[in-house]
Amino acid sequence: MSEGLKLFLSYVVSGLVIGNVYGLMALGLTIILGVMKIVNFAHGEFYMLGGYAAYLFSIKLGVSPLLSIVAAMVIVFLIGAFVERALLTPFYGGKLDRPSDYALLMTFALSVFLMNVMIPIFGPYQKSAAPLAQGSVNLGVVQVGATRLLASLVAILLMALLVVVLKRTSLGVALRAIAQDRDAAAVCGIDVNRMNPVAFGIGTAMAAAAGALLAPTFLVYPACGTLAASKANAILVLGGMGSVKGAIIGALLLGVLEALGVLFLTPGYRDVYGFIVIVLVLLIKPTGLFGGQEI
Amino acid sequence: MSSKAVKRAAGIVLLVALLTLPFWAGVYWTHVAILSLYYVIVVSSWNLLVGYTGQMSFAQVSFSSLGGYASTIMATRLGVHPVLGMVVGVAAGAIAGYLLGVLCLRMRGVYHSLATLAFAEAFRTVLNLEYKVTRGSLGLLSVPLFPGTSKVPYYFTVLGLAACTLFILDRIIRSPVGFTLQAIREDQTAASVAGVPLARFKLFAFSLTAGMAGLGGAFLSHYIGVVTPDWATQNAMAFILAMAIMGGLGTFVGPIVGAVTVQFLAEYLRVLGRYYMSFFGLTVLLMLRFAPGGLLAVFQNLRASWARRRQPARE
Amino acid sequence: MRLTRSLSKLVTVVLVLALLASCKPASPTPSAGPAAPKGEPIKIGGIGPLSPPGTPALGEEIMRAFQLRIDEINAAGGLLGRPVELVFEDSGGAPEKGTAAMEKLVNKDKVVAVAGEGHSSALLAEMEVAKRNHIVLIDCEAWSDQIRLRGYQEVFAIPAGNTMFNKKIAEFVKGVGFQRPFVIGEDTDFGIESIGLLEKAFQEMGLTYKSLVVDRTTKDFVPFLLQAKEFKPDILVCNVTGVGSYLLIKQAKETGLAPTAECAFFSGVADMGYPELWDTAAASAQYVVWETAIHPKAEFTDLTKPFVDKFTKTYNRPPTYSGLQAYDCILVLEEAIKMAGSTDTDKLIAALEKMKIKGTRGEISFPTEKGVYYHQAYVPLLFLQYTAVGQTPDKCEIVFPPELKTAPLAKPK
Repeated sequence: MSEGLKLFLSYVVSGLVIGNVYGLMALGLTIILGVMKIVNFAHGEFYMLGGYAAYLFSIKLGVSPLLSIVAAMVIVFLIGAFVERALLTPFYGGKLDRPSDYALLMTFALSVFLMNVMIPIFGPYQKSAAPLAQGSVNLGVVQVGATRLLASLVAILLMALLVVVLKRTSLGVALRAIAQDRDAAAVCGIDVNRMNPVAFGIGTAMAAAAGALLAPTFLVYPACGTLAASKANAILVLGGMGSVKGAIIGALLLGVLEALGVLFLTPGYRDVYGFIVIVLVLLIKPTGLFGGQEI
Repeated sequence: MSSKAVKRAAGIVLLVALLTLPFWAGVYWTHVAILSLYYVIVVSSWNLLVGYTGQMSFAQVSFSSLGGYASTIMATRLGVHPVLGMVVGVAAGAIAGYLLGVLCLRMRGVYHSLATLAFAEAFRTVLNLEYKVTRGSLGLLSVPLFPGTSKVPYYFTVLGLAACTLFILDRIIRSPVGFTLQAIREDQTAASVAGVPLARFKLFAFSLTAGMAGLGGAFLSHYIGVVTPDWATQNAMAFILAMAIMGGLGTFVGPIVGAVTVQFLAEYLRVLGRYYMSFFGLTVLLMLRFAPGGLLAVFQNLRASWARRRQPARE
Repeated sequence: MRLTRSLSKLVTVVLVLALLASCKPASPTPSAGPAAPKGEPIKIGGIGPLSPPGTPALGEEIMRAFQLRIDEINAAGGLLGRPVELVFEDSGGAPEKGTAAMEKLVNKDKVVAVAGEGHSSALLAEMEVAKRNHIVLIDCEAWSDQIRLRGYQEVFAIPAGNTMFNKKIAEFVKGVGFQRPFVIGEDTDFGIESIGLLEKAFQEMGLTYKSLVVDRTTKDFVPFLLQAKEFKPDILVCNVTGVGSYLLIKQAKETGLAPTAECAFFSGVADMGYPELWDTAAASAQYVVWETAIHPKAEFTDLTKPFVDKFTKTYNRPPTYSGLQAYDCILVLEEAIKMAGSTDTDKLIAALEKMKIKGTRGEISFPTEKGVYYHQAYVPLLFLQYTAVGQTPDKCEIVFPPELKTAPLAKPK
């Protein structure tokens, strides 16, 4: 295998490994967008909260890494549901002049608040969480940290679980119904208002899972959610705003696109490619590659 | 004395106070006033695009920093006088705004917002990475607008710039153009069906807003003496958002009230040290949740309830 | 007319707030010692990163070390018979915030001098305020050569400058015998300047080298490390500060690049001295070489140990060399005020330029010759290596310079 190809594959593989976890986060964003028609600008901060929760449980309380991830998801689900009830209900009230602007601005303000409130609570030093595994694994074309690889696999598992929930359980059916047509779903007897905090909670729990999974790899600090959020946004746009299949494929696509960019253009600009991707996709197909009404 | 005369007298007193501020407020508070006026320019122009035309944009800070960088590069690399640099800053902002507008022309709602966010973040990254031109996060040292250390000429300059900006915005909003922009905000499709050339108006709003932001940024770079990529972060954008929301989005006075209030609030909250930004963020959250119309709406509600109290309910 | 209405509303708000502002008491500061002397306090301004994008750990350490010395001064009767008060402002490590903080310190709090800062980009903006207002500014931990090259008489540098520091790195690389260095630098003045200086030095030494600039806020360095791996270096030199410094080590180890038997790892940043290194990089950090100005086996003066012990006891963590430098900042200001018998800026500058005092890292004096060593105190630099996981800095081996060496460079199997 030629050196160039080997290098390219090493970029792709390492990109995909991490990309899966961002895909999980993007899935959460998709659910929120699909069901509630809100883009959660604070999604990165829920990722960050998940990371801090993982730190709290696995380091401070000595809980096993896997359980800490679950705990992080549960806690952030509750926080997300609370946030929805406390801050986002006017969105549906019908009294606002510009509800979508409201949701945008509210989640944006929330992100600023959450990012900054962590500093006095947890202090300025960055934290880590107990890793799922030690050492590195040789994948042939590239050597990858074992923690990352395991995080990637757990992310795939969680995404699969979510897809099952959405397709097979009554909760999932209800969410998809609301995403398709809110009023019709209400007519069918689904309590749309009670589903809002659930949907938001699930979405943020996914972000928290991603944060908890990547906490040992990328560390946890107040601003750690920003980059993750931009990746999730890129995946959301790439794959389709409100499409589950799209989010999964979008994550893979982003990993490959970034690898290509790094190889052929400058590596320093890697994180900019995500933005360029967003703009290009929005220009060509504003609803994303697989976007549409359903999730 | 009639209430109208009282209002007029008060207005004159306040105007005089504003015109003589550096002479009674002290160096430090003049500095705060200058920053407030910078924000008045940037937030009021943002309001034209977002509040009046209904096109959400997270890129306002990109345009103000572009204006700052353009003006500074002109002044330091090409030895141009800062005033000419500021003109370049306006032009750079306007052109960039036009381009972003073109990019976002066909986008609606969240897609539009996401695109502007993507643009803003990409711009900031480029500022950091192209360190040969911008010196990256080190920042670019600029040339002062006036010789000497006094803040007085800076204050009057920015006061003049703010007054011009507000005057232009006021004229536009009250003209048929302003009416059309608001129609676009209310219902783009209907406006288009009614024969409005959407593209032309939207691009106009984008360029004007960005050009004014560029003006503010160019001035600020020659006042503070340095321009850095931090100007283009979303944290900086949060300030602008906060000011617009606090004051009242989509009203003329809102951004002015918001800019001044938030700037002064920011100086106060300094004492909170570490808790400063969180408290600030919380204030914005609560404001948005319980008083989305901003302080102006709060004012108006208070006024209305006073008026109601003075006049007992009719049977 | 609408415009006058808006204007009057604006002015009302401005006036009301201005009135309130004049009633506001001064910002709270950490308390002075128990036996505080009486009189009009001498206010010393402190500035540093307490919030992002700066490194809050650094700002905290600087603030604590400042307060420690000031408490000692007050306990001993104050300065010129007056109590000393620290007013510390957060610069966030950002030029704009730093400028605002300086304006407040100089024009509102009316401090007699300012000391601190750990981020060059912020200091470069802050020194403009210092110059405009003719106030002494003591740089605590900002390394940019630009700070020295501007030649402002008000500014004095306690830490090593980039030239001083990178010269030592190049000497280390050559001295230990490396042939193929790969340098990763962050996209700040510190990182970019060091790359330039190192490349020049390596070129003069005839070594084959390569370098890469990375965004300081990046978390995934793997693509860059893979590029480095392609170059097959024998030492990886990393000048990236903050969280990235730890992530680089971890990810370099995971990708099989360094520290390995074939390639050593050197990181030239203060973050290497914090215990957080082990929380985050864990076992990967064993064999990392780093640079510092303190080590018990090379104890510098009789002021060093008492400060280190007191700081460790008070704050439950040992100081890094930044803490020592911060302590020295107050020492020189204190000495300058004593020598000048006043807090007048010109007299302080004259005193600072004349003084030769004992600090915690050696003797401090500020040369006046313009250039990259202008007003630059000499800083002894050591190269330490972590030889066991979880090792504390004082147990490290000194691997360079040869006259202070305690062990040869260790390599993993």
